[in-house]
Parts: sequence; structure tokens; C-alpha cells
Amino acid sequence: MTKPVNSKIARGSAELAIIALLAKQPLYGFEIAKRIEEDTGGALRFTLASLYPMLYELEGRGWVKGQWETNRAGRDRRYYTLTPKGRKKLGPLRREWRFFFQALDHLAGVKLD
Amino acid sequence: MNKHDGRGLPDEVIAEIATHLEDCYEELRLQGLEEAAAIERVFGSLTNWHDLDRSLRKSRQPWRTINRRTEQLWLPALATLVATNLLLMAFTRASIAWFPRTGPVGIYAPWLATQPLIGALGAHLSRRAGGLRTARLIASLFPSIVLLGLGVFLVPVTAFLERNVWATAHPVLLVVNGLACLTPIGIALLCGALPFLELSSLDGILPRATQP
Repeated sequence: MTKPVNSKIARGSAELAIIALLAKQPLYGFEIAKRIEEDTGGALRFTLASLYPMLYELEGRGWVKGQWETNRAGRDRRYYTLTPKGRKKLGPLRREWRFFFQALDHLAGVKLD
Repeated sequence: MNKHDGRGLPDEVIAEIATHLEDCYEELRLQGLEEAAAIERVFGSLTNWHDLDRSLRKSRQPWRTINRRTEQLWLPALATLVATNLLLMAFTRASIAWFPRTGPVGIYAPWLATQPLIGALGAHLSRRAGGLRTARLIASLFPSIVLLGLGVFLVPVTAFLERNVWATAHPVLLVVNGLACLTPIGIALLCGALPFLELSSLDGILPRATQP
């Protein structure tokens, strides 16, 4: 079983995880949490208390936009889409994290084989 | 009634949280959990309603994005501007009181020597708030940016309004003089800021990204 990353790093990576996911397709909160957990093999896990404040904050910044829509099951869900402003942030955020992991690799040799 | 009971949160937030819990419940049921066990698991995952309520309210405040910029840029910039002016005032008073013969050199030379500290202060405050390189740089150079702004707008306007013959006849010299005054200040501020501009550690990456 993969041990979840339980630190500031996990929280810090949340922005990137969410906007990278939304760059592919619009998703609603539960789907976002589920997809992130699945795609990271359980390393990144969102709880209710960490996901929605983050989504609202990203929405406040104008990076994502939430809109109520009816899903295939006929239920109303608030779908989040990446705005053009959010899309612009994706590149710099990726670079920052790449830089961060390179620095960490340089320091502590954490690179994956 | 408890102030953390969700009252006051917008209806759509409550609705969204409710749909999330509903989805969690259904997911657990699909995994084969009994109804009671699924309900218990869903609500058991919410160990602290107070924290959830507080963080939801905080994240919905529209001024948070303004505050972020204020914290990372405007407050450090204001701090450098105030600090540099206070120092100039202090050196002026000290020079007049104790070294009246030194003239402007006695004021500006020691003041200029303190500018790296001011630059360092601005960049440090910005970095501490999670500001990236640009914010740190602007915050540290803010006094010279303000001076440049004053020079670009106020000096020509004043010269024109006062019909200053020398200024209107020698605009190039005026610009050169202005730059000659500003450049050392800018360089001094930049020297102080340089150690804080490096993004080689967690600074500027994690703090910025982890702000709640």
C-alpha cells in the first residue's frame, strides 16, 4: 500500500495537481479527489477539508471556474473548468516544482531510478 | 447555536459538500460496505467540523487574493519606502545637528550606505510572505522606483509649470542628473536584495503553494 505524502509538500502540490487535472477535462470535486488519489497511487489524498477550500481559493484567484451541471446520472454537480488564467499558471507551476525536485535531488538524491 | 455549524456559508457550498458526502457514501456502498458502516465511515472522515467550516469561510473571502499580493509585494514595498525615508530624515537631522559642515555629502553618503539593508529588508519580507523573485525585487527596489516615478512625472511637470528655463533648455542633462542620482540608490538596494532573490531552496516554492 502506498503511504500518503503527509506534509506541506502534499498540500503545496495540491494546486498543481488540481489544475493539471482540470487542464485535461472539467471535473467535479469528488471526481477530482478520486482521480488524484488513483493517478498518484494513493500518494496524494484529498479530504473534504483540504479539497474544497483549495478549489474555492483557486476559483477566487480566477484560475478555475465552478458551474453547476447535471451529470450523466442526472445529478447536479459543480464542475470545475480551468480558465485561461489558470492555464497560463500551469507552465510556471510545473517549472517551479521541477526546479524544487531537481534541487531536492541535488541535495538528497531522491531521483527515481 | 455553535458558530461553526455551517450557517452563513453560501447555499451552494453546503450543497456541494453534501453532494461530495453523498458521492463518498455511494462509492463505499459500491465497494460492498453496509449502509450503516458506509455512513459511519463518511462522517467519521470529518473529524473536525470546526476546521472545515473555518477553512471554507476563509477560502471564500474575495479579498484573499488581494491580501496575498499585499503581503508579498505592497507591505514589503511600503516598509522599504518608509524605512528609507525615516533613515534619510534621521541622517539629515543628525548631520545638521552634529556635522553641519559636511553638507549634503554628510547626509547622503551614510544614507546611501544603509540602502543595501533596506533592499535586504524588502526582499526578506517579501520572501517570508512567499513572494517570488519578481515580487522580492520590486519590494526591495521600491524606493528607487518611487523616485524614478517622481522624476519622470513630477520634475518635468514642475519645470514646465514654473517655467524653469534651465530645465526646459537642458532636458538631457536633467535626465542624466536624475539617473546619476537614482542609479547608486538602485544598485545599493539591489546589492542588499541579491542574497534573497535566489530560489534554490524551498523559499518561494512551498510557502507560496502551501498557503491555506
